[in-house]
Amino acid sequence: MKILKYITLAMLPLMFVACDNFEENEYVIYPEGETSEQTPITKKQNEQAILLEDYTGWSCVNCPAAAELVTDLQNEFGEKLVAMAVHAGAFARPSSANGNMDFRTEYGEKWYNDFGITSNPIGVINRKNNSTSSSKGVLKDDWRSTIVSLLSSTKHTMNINLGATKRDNKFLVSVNGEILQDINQPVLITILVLEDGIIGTQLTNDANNPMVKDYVFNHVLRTNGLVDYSFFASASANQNINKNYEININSSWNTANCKIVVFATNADNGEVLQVNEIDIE
Amino acid sequence: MKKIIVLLASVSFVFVHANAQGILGGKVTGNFQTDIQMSKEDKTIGAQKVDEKLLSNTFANILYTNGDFSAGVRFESYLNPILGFDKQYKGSGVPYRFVSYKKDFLEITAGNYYEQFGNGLIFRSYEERNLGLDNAMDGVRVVARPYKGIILKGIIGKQRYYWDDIWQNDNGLVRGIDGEFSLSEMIPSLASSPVSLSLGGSFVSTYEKAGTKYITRNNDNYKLNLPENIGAGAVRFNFGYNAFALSGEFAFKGQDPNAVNNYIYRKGNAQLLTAEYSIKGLGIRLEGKRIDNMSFKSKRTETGNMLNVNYLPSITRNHSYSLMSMYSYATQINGEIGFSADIMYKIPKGTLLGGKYGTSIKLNYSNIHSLDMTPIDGYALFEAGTNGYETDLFSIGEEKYFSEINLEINKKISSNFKMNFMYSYQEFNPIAYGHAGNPMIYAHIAVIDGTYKLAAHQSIKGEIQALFTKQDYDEFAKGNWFQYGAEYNFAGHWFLAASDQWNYGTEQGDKVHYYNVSAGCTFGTTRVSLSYGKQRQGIMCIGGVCREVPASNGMFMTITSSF
Amino acid sequence: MKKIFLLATMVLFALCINAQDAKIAKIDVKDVNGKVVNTGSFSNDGKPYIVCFWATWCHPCLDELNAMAELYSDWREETGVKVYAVSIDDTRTKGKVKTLVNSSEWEYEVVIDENSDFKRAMGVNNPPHTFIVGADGTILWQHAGYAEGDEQNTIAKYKELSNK
Repeated sequence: MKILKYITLAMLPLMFVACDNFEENEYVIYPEGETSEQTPITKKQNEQAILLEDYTGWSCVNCPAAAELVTDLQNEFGEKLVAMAVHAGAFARPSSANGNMDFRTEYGEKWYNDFGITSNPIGVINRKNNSTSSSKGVLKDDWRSTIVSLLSSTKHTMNINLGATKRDNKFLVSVNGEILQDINQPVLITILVLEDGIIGTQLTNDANNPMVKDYVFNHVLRTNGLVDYSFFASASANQNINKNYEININSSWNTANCKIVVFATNADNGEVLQVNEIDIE
Repeated sequence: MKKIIVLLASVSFVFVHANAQGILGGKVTGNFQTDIQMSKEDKTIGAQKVDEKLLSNTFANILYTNGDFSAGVRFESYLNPILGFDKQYKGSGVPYRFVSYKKDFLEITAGNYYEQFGNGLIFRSYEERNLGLDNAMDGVRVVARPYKGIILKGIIGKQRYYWDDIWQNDNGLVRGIDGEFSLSEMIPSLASSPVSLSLGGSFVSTYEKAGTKYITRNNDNYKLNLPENIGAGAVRFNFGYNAFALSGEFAFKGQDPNAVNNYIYRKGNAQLLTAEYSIKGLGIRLEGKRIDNMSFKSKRTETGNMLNVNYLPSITRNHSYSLMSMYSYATQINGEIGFSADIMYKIPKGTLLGGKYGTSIKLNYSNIHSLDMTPIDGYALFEAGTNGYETDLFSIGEEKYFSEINLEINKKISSNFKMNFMYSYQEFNPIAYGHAGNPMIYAHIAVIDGTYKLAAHQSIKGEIQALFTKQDYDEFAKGNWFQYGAEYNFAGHWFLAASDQWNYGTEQGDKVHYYNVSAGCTFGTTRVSLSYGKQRQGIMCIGGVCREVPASNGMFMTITSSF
Repeated sequence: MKKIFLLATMVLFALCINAQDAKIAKIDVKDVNGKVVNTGSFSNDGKPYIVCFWATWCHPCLDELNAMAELYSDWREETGVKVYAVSIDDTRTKGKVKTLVNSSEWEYEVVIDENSDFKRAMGVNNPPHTFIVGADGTILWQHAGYAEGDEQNTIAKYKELSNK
């Protein structure tokens, strides 16, 4: 009997053997979220814009100041700056204190880790690599100067023209990419949904009012990124591509307050080439 | 890594210490090899400048055995790797270490190990030092012999990848089981009969994260749905009846789109069948082999010689004369079908042809073709993200990969003189060297050598080889060759040799000579050899695996020793 | 740090080289009919035996085994020697082993070490490599390579060792 036990033990790896098997029509996947339905392009772009990701959380007491700075910067730079608030990490973990409101997304958590972010508030600007650190994080006090310097140094290589509408329970996004100068790298685009005006609880460093229950959260990242890895296989000047995408609407979103952010990244180094945003019509 | 060395060090310390006190006896064996090469630039033969001036490879195996316990380490150093070895080997360290223990019918090995299931069609972990090939497993192996005639094996681990910390990289995990059942031993009534029969079966699977792979089709990009678990199975048998024997193995592999098969989803399979008849003085053997999409590696994107999970050798003759092996075939892992035959006969002593000592004659034939592949409707052959192609089990493709007929005669003329003669005709498709689409090479090759014994420990050997071919169009098809050389063995320990390989009648004229002189000695298990001269650029194949050896001009020294 | 441990390990191992004579490794190999044989079961009626590593593609090996084959029956009569010829042919050429052995009329005990496990355990670099192993499994003598006439050395050594 002991022998049988050992034989069974030796046979255990058999259980792993189950090999993955796909049917012939499952071998390849059409890029996720892509659709043939179109919506008119209503927002054209003709200048370089910068993407500011504000990594934040409801229990981060210094974060409201950063959110205010974002608003100031948006007023200052207008369409040249696209901002989004990424709720991720320990400070974004919900608890009963904030009514278990959870703004975290898998996408946000992934970048929180990948960008080497360890404290909040912190910004990531155009996903630029940092020459002195493996973290892409930029401290709040340096945001403005970084944006100014990037606006002057970034080559205006492409424009992203957008159209967006709500159709049934989906957002339909049409993207027109125009390459102005050779990039000679694959260019991928990421499509995200942000929501403004969400009311919730935020901790602050104001001793008189440490817990604001009716805090307004703006440009909150609501989705996992819809990434088209093959928007341009290798971008060279004068290329022009139209593609359409659909995103399922989550019932918790107030669609009237939603907007779409689309940014293009260089597949080689992950840095942002261009970004644009559009409100839902 | 560091932990394991500490462990080994302390284990060895305990044993050595204990040994000194006479409590535990331990035995140490080992072996050692070092190759040292110096090569200078030589434009006539295409030898490149070697910046490091001196290159060396060193291996040292140390094995400790104490009753049922054994442990071993191998130290390797490539500073820098000798020509033809992958530069990624540069460095030194202990890539191989293990401890193993036997208890009752179980044997457990932790750390590195080599293993083979059946003929290796779905799993073989091995090293081929001269090719710089090592796919040692790192993990655990259990071998059980629960009953006479039954051997069960279970393995799990990852494969060596140069000096990578394999537990940090994303290369796949390999696990498998194997059972071998010798019915002749299990069934008493069979034991005494002239019939011998054994059966075996194995399963192997790899796990590798899917990752992302995009393909382009009709100007649109698609993502592949990649399988993470890839399974393979094989069954085998070995049947013998008096002088007759038949053995075979049939293997299957699940969907495994990878860089070698251009990401096709077709399932793989392979068949190997050998029939043999042999009596005293005569042996006849027939072998058939078919391979259909059997590339099996533990990393989807790997294309080189590393990370092979299985082993699919070619069935062509393995030549040791250098001109005979100038065009050596390498298995086409994506698909081939072929067979080989051998007849070996020893003309008895005392007959007219046999003479006083007998004459041995060996005839060998092999022929290998492509599979007859039909593309999938609407797609190109081997188009990524499809089944790739269709084929039938017995349909042979039109493209010839290799064929050879060769005859070898070994004749001892007198008590101190013997001769070997060999002739071979080869048809070689350069696809085996990775140059698909080039004209076939047709070559006639002849070798004659003789050894004359001057005294008890003194002999002289002469050798002439010639290769004739009309194909003279590239680095790998360089027309006619002629080689001659002599070797003198003396005092029981020493040898001196000189040879010249001459590439004549080529577009570059008749000027390319590859002279080589060498000397060496053997004392017990220590052998030292030193050679100086030119080495032609070539491809060295062992088993089904080849490596390119660049031309060199300079000194080469090898020291090997066992203890 | 790693290097120091490595060095320490090797030195310690080396220290016990002279501690005792090594024994033949106990490894599973197969006979020419595919039956598993453990090398620990090699024996010769209480006398030492010879283990030769060879391969079908190795010319010096064939020279050595052919040279010994001619003298083998005389040797057996005279000394009672027994030769185990361990082929390290792998899947590519192992099928030729039996054919070659029979056609060459070798009388040796032939086994196949298909994945070189026994070769590795015995510390063999390249074939040919010859061992004389005592009745108790102790390795009494070994020699690498083959030159014309070496077979006479081997048998002389065998006689010397078996008369001890």
